[in-house]
Amino acid sequence: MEPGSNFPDAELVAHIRSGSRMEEMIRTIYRLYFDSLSWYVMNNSGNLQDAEDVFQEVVVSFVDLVQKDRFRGESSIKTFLYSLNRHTWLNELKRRGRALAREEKYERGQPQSQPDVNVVIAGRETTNQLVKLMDLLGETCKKILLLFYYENRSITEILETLHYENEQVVRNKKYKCLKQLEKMMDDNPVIRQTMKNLLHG
Amino acid sequence: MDNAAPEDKIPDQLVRYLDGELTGSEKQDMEKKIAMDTALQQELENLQLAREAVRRFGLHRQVGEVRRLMLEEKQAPVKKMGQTRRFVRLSLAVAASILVVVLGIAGYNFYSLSASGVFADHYQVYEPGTVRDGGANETAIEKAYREKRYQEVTTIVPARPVTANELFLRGIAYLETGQPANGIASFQQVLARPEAGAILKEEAEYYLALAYIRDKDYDPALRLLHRIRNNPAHLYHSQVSGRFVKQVRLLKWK
Repeated sequence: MEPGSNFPDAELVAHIRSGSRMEEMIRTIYRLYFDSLSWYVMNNSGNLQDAEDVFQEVVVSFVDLVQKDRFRGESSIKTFLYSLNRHTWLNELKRRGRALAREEKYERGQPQSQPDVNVVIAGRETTNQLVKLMDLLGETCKKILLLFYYENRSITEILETLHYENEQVVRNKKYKCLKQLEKMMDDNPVIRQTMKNLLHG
Repeated sequence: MDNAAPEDKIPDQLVRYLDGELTGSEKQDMEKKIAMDTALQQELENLQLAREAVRRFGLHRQVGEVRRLMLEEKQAPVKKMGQTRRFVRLSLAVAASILVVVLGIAGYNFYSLSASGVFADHYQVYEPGTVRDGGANETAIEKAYREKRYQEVTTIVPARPVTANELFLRGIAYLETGQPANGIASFQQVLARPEAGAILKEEAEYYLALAYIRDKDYDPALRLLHRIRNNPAHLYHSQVSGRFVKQVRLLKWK
């Protein structure tokens, strides 16, 4: 059986929530939903690149919501992703100054049964700014912060990976990198506000 | 930072509080300070937002890596191993039936079992995907590998750090040139690289297991084979049959 061909929603959500087999889960989402969601974008003024970018943002937003325990499961994953996909693409079109009037009217009529998607989507432009910001931090800071705050590695494990002198040196470096990022975000109110929305919903 | 005055330690302790490292009275003291100090509350929020940015970026990167790999999978030609796999599985099923029925043949097979034999049974040289851009962005290591200049692959030292993909190709080249110990080191480095994608890591796991077998280090080989066999989604799950695992166990006891 090809992985993901018959993957129950509950199992997918459980794995994402626990962070186990994450790459496999992301691949499963791609296998199950990319073709149909990309069809929507490409049939509404978008091209394949747009569809891929939007889907990537949708997957990021979905995984983030599940891990923050904000995906209530009232709808299926498929329905929820469709909604995220539509909103993400509509927001992007608005940003480009190309609204789809019929879609906007449809969206206004929909009940709000899940988190307000506008506060869970970072948007392509903001994501690009975040990537640039992280690049400005430099490779070493990026690596340390990702290892600690994204991969949840301990200081000891980071020490073994990056070969610093001792744990205190790693701690000091991590502290400086985090403070540097904090300062950079202070100078970028758009990213700051987006992170605030994502954190607090 | 350890020799700083108490008030200078607060920013460091706030980060430790953020990271969940404060406990007991230290934690309670910090929570009291935060409750009474709006500047500290603001600082904590700033740190939380910075942490959120790292997490979001990490997630974006991880999803982006899967996106890239799946695009490559769609564009890559079907690997030769796909057809060979079915043939190998069919042959193993037939061979296993004969062994069970004829004890003498089983005994003969046991005594003739060797690390090089098991390795050869399950090893196929890795074929990289088709170069899409005519080789314009191909590195020296990748080019040498594609042209099967395996000895050269093991000796090329680029001016910049070696990529995870290059380390993997180097590992295969070491196997091709009869240097399994060096191959083991290369594959281990691939697995230790945070930026190596899931597919590359699964490739590295399988070939690392084979390198261990070739090097007659059966315990780590068995650990890897069990890991692959227990993961139905693993790229090489179907390559690691029960018989394969039994052969390596038998080698260990010989």
